This record gives sequence, structure tokens and C-alpha cells, in this order.
Amino acid sequence: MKNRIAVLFIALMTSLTAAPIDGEQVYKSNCTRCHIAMHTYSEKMSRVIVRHMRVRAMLTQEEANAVLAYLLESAQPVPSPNSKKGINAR
Amino acid sequence: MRSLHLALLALWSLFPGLLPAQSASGAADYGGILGGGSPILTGALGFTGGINNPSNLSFGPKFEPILLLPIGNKFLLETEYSTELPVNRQDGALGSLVYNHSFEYLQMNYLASSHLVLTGGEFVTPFGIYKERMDPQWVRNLLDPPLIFAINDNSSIGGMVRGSTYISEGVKLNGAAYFSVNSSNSQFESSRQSGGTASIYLPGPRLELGASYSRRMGDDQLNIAGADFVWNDRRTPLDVRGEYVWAEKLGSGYWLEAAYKLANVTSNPFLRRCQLVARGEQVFAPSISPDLDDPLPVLTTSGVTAGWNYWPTDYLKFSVSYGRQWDSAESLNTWTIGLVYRFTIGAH
Repeated sequence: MKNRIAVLFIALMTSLTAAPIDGEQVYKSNCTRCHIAMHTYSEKMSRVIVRHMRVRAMLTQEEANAVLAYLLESAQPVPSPNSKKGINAR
Repeated sequence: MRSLHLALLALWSLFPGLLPAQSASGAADYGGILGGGSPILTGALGFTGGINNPSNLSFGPKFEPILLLPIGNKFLLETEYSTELPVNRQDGALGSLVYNHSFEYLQMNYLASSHLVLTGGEFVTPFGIYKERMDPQWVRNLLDPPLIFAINDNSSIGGMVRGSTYISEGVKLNGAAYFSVNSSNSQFESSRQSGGTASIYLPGPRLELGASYSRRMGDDQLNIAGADFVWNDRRTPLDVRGEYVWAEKLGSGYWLEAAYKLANVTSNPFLRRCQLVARGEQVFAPSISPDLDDPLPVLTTSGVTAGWNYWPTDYLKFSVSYGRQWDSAESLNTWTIGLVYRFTIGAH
């Protein structure tokens, strides 16, 4: 009986941790709770900042990776005459 | 043998990082946060001025540099040094100039697994939501912290384990536990204490409910408990936070704060960079003065504060606030104004 419960628990954990993560969603539901604006940093800087925030904001590794991917994708140059170098719109 | 299997399964469940990881869309293209990175110097330089009951004036700069140093793929050394030079002018006379400076934290983090971080060194004591999240001058909504913040405005020296995991879809469990030794060094002050904090976060409605506990040992033995919540309404966007703290011998109190960003309600470029804030709070003093070295009100005190924040750029924040506090003996009106510049320097 104990073994069945343990196997069931592991199966549950596996299924829960296999869900896909949306970086934009994680960013909006975690980062914007304290930070009002999105900044654009280089890839090297973004990696360290997200590592720092993983500890501070208690993000899981997967959430941190998703946020990093979202930030780096958002930092790609946008071909818009109104875009401002170094600062993204909120 | 059955016991061994159960023990292994229990160990496995404690370190879910060993399980198949969640997939982060696009993260694989960048290798995740485990790879690369370079040292960063960041932080804030601020100047704050306050006046209460016309005769009392205080002002001064505050400089809080932060160094982030990644080491390998699993470690992060981070430190914040806090310096301030407050000037007080009371009844026409300038007070003595005192240069306050000390480490806020100097910690080594080890990313033990996908869900677990081990920390050693000096770290911000995990209790409630203000110290760890709201305290930095470029993050806090109002320049003055809540009155009960004095109870938990401290750092610890020792070890901490912290982490988070999803206990079901849309329900996240966060937690931290620590122990601290006593240190009277002026740069690394801490008390002998232990405790922890835990919260349930619902990312859907963006609602978080938390509870904290701390036990101070040594000369001033006391128990401290607290409860907190954070709610961000994604539609408005309205941020509401609150915290209740009960401290044996010191008293108890609560604060409730609401912040409203105007970005979603107007197209005016000036107003889109504005935020309105309001806070109400009360501190209930103990019936007998504990004679402990904590700067809490000695009488039961109530207060309300209203503030306005404006970001001319994403790196500059201007704030002004008005607050009124009253107890059974007197009332106090306070105007506060501040400017904070946030900087980040690192390799490109």
C-alpha cells in the first residue's frame, strides 16, 4: 500500500513538473509585482540578473529559464521608427 | 529493501529537480541561466528629504551598490553595501553628522536543484514581504517604510535553504528556513535567531498568502510571527499588499498598501509614467515598555500616507508623499520627497 502511494506521488510530481512554461506569463505574474518597467540588457547581463532574481523571487529553474528566454527575445531589435534604444515600452 | 525504496522515493520527492524538468518555451536556445554571465555592478543612488511639524527637517543621500558575481554554473556571490549620510535639523539646530554604512548582505548561493537554493553568509532575514522585496529604494512604493518594519529590518549571518515548487497546476508553494548566529561587528550585525517563511502563490489571480515565524535567542528572547498577502489585479493594474506582525514583548501592528499604475488607463505619456499610492497602518504598543533596542512607537500609533511616483525614464524615479501619524499624546504631519537613480554596469 505504501509503495503504491509513493509511486502515485512520484507520478503526480512528474506530471506536474512536465507542464510547459510561458516566459511572458512568468515574467508578468512575478517580475512586474515589484518592478514597474522592463529593461533591456545584454545577454551576459540578463543571465546574471535572472540568476539573482531566481534566488530573490523564489523562481524555479524552469521559470527562470523561461523568463530569460522571454527577456532575450524581447530585447531583439524591433524595426520601428518609434523604438528607443536601451528602453523598452512598458 | 522496501524501506530503502521508500527512503529513495522520499529523497527524490525532496529534490524534484531530479525529475523531468518543465519545458520553458525558447529557453533551450539560450542555454538557460546555468551558462554564461558576467559580473554586474548595479544598485541605486537616492536623495531623500523630509519635514515634519515644520521644526524638524531631515535629508541626505543614500547609496546602495550591489555586486553580482556568477561562479561556474551553480554559484552566485551577491552583496549589497548600504551607505547613507542623514542630516537632521531640529528646532533650528543641526544634529551631528553620522555616516551609516554596513553590508546589507554578502551571500553565496548554491543552486542545488531546480527547486532548491542553499545560501551561506550574511543574508536579508526572510520574514514577511517588506524586507526581502519592498525595501530597495527603487522598488518601494512609498519612501518611508511601515512603522512595524522596525521589528524585522535586519540581516542574518548563517545558513538558509529556500525554494519553490508547484503543488498543483496554478498553485505554487514558496518557502525559506534559516538560522543565524550573533554578531556585533559594525559591518555584519546579526542576532542569534532562527525561523522561516512560507507562502502559497496563485499565478492566475496573482494572489499570494504568506506566513512567517522567527525566534530570537540570546539576551532578548522573543517570538515573532507574521502573516502577509499580495494581490495584483492584472486588469487595472492595482497592487494591494498587507502585512501583520506580532512580536512578543514588542507589540504588534499591520499595514495595508495599495498602488495604482496609470499606464493602462490613459494614453497621456506623462500620466502613463505615474503611480498613485496609499497606505494605512497601526502599531499596538505593549502595555509594559520592553526596554529593548527597537525603534518602535512607545504608544499605540495610527497612520495614513498618500504618495505619487513618477518615472521620467526607466532609470530615474521621483517620489513625493504626505503622511499623518497620531497617538494618544500628539499627531505628526510628514512631507517626504525623493529622487532615485538606478544604475547597472556590466559586460555587453
